[in-house]
Amino acid sequence: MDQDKKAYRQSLCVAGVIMAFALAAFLLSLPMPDHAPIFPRMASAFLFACGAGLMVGAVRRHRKGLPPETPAVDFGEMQSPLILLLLVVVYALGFKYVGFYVTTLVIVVASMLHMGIRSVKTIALVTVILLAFLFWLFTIQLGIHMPQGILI
Amino acid sequence: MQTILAELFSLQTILALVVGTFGGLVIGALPGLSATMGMSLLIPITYSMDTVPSMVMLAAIYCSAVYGGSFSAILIHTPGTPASAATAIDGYELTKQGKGLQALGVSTTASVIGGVLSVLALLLIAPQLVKVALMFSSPEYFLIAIFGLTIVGGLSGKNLLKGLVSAGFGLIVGMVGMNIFPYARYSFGNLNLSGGIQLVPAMIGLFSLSQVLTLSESRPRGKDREAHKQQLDSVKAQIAEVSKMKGRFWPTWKMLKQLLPAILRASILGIGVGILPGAGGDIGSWVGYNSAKNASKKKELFGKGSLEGIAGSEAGNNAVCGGALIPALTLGIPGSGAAAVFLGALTVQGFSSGTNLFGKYADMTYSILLGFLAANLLMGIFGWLLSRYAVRFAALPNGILIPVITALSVIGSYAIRNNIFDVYVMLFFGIVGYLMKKFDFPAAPTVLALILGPMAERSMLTSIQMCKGNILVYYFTRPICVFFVILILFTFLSPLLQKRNRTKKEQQAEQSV
Repeated sequence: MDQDKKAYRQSLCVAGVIMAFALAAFLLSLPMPDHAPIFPRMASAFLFACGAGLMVGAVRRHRKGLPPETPAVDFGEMQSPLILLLLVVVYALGFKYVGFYVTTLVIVVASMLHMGIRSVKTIALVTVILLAFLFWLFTIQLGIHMPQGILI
Repeated sequence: MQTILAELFSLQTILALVVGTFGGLVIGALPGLSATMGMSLLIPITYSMDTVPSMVMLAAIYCSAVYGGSFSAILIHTPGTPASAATAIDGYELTKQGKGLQALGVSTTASVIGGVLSVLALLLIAPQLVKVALMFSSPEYFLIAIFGLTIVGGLSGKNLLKGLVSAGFGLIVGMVGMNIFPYARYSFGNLNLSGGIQLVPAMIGLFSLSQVLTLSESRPRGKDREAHKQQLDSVKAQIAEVSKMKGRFWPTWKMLKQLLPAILRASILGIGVGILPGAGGDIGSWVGYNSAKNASKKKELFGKGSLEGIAGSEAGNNAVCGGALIPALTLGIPGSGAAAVFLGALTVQGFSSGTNLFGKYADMTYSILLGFLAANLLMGIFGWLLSRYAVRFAALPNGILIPVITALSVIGSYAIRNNIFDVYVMLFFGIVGYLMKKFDFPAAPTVLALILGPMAERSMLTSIQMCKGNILVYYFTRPICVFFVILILFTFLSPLLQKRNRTKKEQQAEQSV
């Protein structure tokens, strides 16, 4: 029952976020000139209506005592993805400042360690093969100049 | 014809075909990775290639990934892709009975026949549909785009509203920047945003990074570590067992004759499911499986190791591939998430769907379609050669897959325009895609809206200028427009009517009890 209540609250929050996003999109379209705001207003009104529909649907299911359509999201499960996400953010930022290959090396090793791989041989092998493949494909074959980093 | 064959048999196209087919098989055999993800990840690599080899490579990945999912489904009871879930039911039962190779042979034969028939349907139907599309003008294109968004929103998830929210979100994001007007909408004075949201980084984020984040949830923690290790050891033991399989791979002529009706029925149904926007390979495989079961004289074998079940499911899911490209290449409405990525890649190459593809650029289009046909045949050969080994990829731990996909996602997003901003776009869509998955919102309608949004807006504005009066009168005096308005209303109303009927039946059942 607690899980159902949690799922109900989460569905209300999600619907609220959708409606807020749609409202913001609508308000931002107000100063647009000529024909430019027609489609944004239509799309944001449509999105707002869908968000409101989701909210009404969730309330009606809850009042009837029916189980929620989507089970409650366990935010504890999101701990590992959040750490990985943080690594990707560091990757995206480091990419520019430290250079692509150095950042890739660090992030590949860090994400393997994060995912529980402890074998030094596996980590070294995967990192070397991946870096060599990326260098061969993107730099040699496709001729893309990867950022070298402005700090190095 | 000479140009078509020259394009098809160029070294680059042949290499792309081989790499795409092999890569697709590996992606398909890996549980958790899908054809859509593999294709979106490879668009940046194909970007710098010529159009024919790049599109052939993506088409090869598409069909062989759908087929590749059957390896792990049959041999270790873990569907490599959602499209092979139905195959796992009877496939694994046959493996337990020592008939794993036979099951793989039937799955390969059915996949090849289903795939080839779907490409033939694509070759026959698409040019005819394009002739119909010639009668369309801006009002019709506006309604087609809206119909595409509505039906994809409705079919790609369990909840119509969630699909529509996903499409609405894509529409608004697709309006960022100066894509139609000399006025930058929703750009907050940011120069990068003024240029608009790039489709490829958005697709990589929605399909690849979000999947990486989902895979990372399986990280073993504390007490789970030991259980996780035991589970991995058990999978490895299963794979070692599978590698020693003996027996005949290809079905005998007699067996093929028995299975052919189920394969043909499922193929036709799969093509139909593919044409229907939003219904992907997973629906095709269940439709094929059920059609085989309903027509079978040995219904009792279903669930206990039926070759007909495997044939129906595999022919059905591979037939979806070609079917899904029919509305994508002619009307710009992709029949599945993977077809949406295919269409996105075509847009990146500078082409748009419709009359030009089968007129001005017909040689290029037919080269791609014949390449797609060749990929369907090649995947059968690769499947036969790799039957004992492909399942080994399923044992690759997420700890290795995650850094590889992450690195490819980041570098791929950057490589399109050598712009770090695209990496941030990919990151944003990765987070959005992950949250969408958590709360059960389908991602495919967002991509479709990013593609169809500008087309819908442009057509709507042109039709406003064309009508010179009451726009409703203008729309309702055009028969094709009326037809599409009815279709859109039907798409909106049918789930509500179905729900009402279901509730009535439930109430009647309760009263009778």
